[in-house]
Amino acid sequence: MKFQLYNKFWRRVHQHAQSRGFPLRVMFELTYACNFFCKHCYVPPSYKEKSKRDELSTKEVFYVLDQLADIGCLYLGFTGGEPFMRPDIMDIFWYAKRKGFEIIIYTNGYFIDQRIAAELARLGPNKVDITIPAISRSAFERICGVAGCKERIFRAIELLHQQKVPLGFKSCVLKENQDEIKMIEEYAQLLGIPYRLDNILSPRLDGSKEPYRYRGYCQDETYAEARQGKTEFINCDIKKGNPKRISQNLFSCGVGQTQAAITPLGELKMCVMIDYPKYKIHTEERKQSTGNGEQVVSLKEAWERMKELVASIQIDESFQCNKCELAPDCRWCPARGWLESKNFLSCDPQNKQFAQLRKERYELVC
Amino acid sequence: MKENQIPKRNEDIVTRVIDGETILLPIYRTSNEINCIYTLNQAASRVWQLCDGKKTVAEMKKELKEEFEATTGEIDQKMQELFKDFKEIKAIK
Repeated sequence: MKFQLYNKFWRRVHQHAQSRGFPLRVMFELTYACNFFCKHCYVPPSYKEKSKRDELSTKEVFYVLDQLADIGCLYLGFTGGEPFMRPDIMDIFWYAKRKGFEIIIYTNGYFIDQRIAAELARLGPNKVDITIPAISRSAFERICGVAGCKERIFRAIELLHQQKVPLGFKSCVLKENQDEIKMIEEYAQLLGIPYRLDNILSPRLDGSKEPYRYRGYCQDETYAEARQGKTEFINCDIKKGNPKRISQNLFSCGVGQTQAAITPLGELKMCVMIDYPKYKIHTEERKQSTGNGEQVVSLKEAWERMKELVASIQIDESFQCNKCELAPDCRWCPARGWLESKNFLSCDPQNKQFAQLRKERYELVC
Repeated sequence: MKENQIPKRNEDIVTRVIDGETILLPIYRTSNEINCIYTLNQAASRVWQLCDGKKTVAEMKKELKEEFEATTGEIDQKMQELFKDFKEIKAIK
């Protein structure tokens, strides 16, 4: 028996998945429902209604998890909406654990009380990832639209931290919190918890660019990136560039090679940010076709179709990254192109703008 | 373990085979164990399968002798090492 450190194992198994093409990592959106009303959220409000009507039952989720285990998925991210909106959420986590998945839970933390924190400690997820939109009560409530949410979430963090549940924090930069980013980062540092700053807002899944209206600007954010352990990024990308990502592998994240996402309605798709195409997958109740004649396929078949589609996307003249001098500093990905203009290859002006900023900042640092 | 003992896998250890590689995933892990993972080579994986709560150690050895090209001494030594490892992570009872 070999006892291996996770990182080593991860690298090796990831290489296997890349060469063999199986979905080692999957994001499972369990519901679009959410108790928060964040205006910058990428989930369109209409999806929340759809979720209420059509989301997978507990039994159907289990059935999908069985299929995921069969095709080699090991790492599962449970997300939403807010996953804890589902009354069966702990049953789902335990089922996944008993199937041998390594799990990460993405949550706003609102529903985590003492009982749930203790149960999460027993469950032992690899991480509970909590979004911290602000430090001040007023900004927190303005962003989430729920009175008293700040106290509930900081209490949840305290409970999880006491129980030694591995945590991660993240925020996105908004007008409402742009002056508090540094404070959030300091709070994370105080607890010794990794903190991630998402400095790009996404259009909604239905194409609406409404979230852009709430985008903030944080003076410190590119420095914050460096402080968040991205020194490797500085050394490698600034000095050598990263041409491989640009010219050889459009989906450098592994979409269609090692990763995918599943919607609350039981559809396989490329990633949480790309809502097209969606392959309706079998559940015990849904074998051949849905009521409206949509084709239903096994998860394995859906995965093979998606792989084929991703492999068939050819670089054409609409792809500008291979000519762009900002490419090595840019976090562009095909999802951004898709969300911007329904073209996986097109440039994303927001990322380009940040690439410019990042380049200037890093040139100052180096 | 003695020849007449019957090792049984702990049901709280999940076995996954990912792309031909057997890994053991304890359902309950302490925060210190989160960053570790247990992987089994082909022979160890076979021993793990044989720990079904029905076969004695002697019977397991006999099966392994038929399946692998190794001497009784080598099999005996490897099995004892493996049982020690399994016990350390509470993988067998």
